[in-house]
Amino acid sequence: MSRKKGLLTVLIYLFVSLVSLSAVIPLIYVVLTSLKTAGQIFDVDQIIPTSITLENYVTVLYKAKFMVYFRNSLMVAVCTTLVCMILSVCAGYGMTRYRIRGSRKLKLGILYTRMFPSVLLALPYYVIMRNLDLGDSLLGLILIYCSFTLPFTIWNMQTFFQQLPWDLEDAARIDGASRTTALFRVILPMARPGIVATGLFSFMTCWDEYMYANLFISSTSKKTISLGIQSFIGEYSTDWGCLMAATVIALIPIILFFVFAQKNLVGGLSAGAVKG
Amino acid sequence: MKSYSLRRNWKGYVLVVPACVAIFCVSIYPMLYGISLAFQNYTLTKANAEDFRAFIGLNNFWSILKQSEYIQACQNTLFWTVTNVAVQVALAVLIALALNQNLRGRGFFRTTALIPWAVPSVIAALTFRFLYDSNVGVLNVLLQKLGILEKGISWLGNLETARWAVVVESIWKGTPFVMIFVLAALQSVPHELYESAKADGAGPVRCFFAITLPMIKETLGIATILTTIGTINNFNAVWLMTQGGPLGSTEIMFTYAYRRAFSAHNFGEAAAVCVIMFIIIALCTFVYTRLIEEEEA
Repeated sequence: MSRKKGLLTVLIYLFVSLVSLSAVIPLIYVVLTSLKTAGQIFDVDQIIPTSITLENYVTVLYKAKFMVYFRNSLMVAVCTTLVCMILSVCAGYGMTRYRIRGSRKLKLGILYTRMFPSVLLALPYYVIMRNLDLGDSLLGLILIYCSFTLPFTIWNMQTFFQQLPWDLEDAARIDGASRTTALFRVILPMARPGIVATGLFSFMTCWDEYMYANLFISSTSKKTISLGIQSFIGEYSTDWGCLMAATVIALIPIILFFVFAQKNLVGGLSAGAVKG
Repeated sequence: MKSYSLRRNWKGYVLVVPACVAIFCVSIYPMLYGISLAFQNYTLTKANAEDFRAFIGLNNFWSILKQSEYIQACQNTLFWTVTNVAVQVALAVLIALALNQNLRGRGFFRTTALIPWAVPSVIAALTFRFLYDSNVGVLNVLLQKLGILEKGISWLGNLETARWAVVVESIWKGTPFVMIFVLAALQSVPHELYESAKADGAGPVRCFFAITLPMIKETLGIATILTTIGTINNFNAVWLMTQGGPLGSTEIMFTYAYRRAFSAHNFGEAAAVCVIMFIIIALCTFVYTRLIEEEEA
């Protein structure tokens, strides 16, 4: 019996190691490739390079307009997230603390808007953006990005607010605090993990968006990072070294967030997470 | 706090209305607009024709149903969704079960297993495109070195391999999300249940089917539905790796609608495909709402 159990434990360790390896290896290989010269990338014996170079990073940062793309993505993601978070924190609080007629139906409606196939919105937006003359602009992109982040943030904030211990607010108010004071002193500190997680997730979704950006952005100076990375893939040849260096750079904010908010992220999102 | 009266609750409305107006403007109005396109003759290349924007009933639907590419895209969507969901959910349960054991370095294993979920989908797709590349891809290089392959295969350019290659990427990217759900559910199963089952002589397999599975049933349902919706909507993986090719073998409904709209400029037909997708997703969402209500009850 105990030998059988020992074997099972070994198998489990093998399995989780395999899972971890297959999760990490593609990314390690990306980093390795980004540090190789063009010659090394094509060299079968240099899978693990014997010497490394930062040439690709220099090219990406200085010769390609990657910093512009990075800045554009940052701007679109931050603006979208700010707008959505302000709207949804207000709405979440209002829906939880006041009696709103039809708020149940409202919540269901929001859930459905969260599930739309985005291509269904791409068609009308193509026409609308042309009519509003927002075709090739970051403002237009921010507007469109709200269409998928806003339902998500409202839903998440609402579910999160519902789980907060509101008795504490009532207690504070009995002690003489105004509603506003109670909100800022008692509720918001408790709601912070949920707000942070939702905001970060919204940022990540915007950072990762490709379809709309590809459709609406045509000028180089307005490209976002997703388009920028893809631009290293040519019709006939692809600069893999630069592509992988660009990938690593694009991953930096995501890694920072993940490290910074790992605990919040899993806990704060499991309430109403949607596949990203 | 218990009355719905406007005088007591006006502040609530003030807080909720801006978000509702915003949602209406950015989501609901465009969606209704999009649905209305499905019933119009809306071919952008013929924008000056007399019957442009004319109401044509269900004609767009009939015409897409006659296109063999559309039928193929539907079949591919079915294959794409079923394989993805089945493998992701099964794999996620296995991983979650393993990670729920008392392992040394469990935190490390958990964190690394979650990494693919955090990687942006554009980056994941392009990374795999690189791994699959017929000249420089490490997959070919390794298989050649091991003597399994004589010459590199273009995994994404080959009719037999392309759909599987894309599915593998999507599984890599999608499984951790399901795993988070299952792991959370596993942790809520009371430990005493297992101990008493063990005392009664039940083995691990028996325990899984008699205790674990019934306890995580709802969570599995929710995770399955969310994965289904996410997979049907997964444009980035397909588009960035194969653009639906070769010969439409990886074309799903989503990319087909996209192509009808932005290559063929036939918005009417594209919208018709979108409406069909929307109905499928709305059905899934309906099941999802039922499941969360059940879980809350």
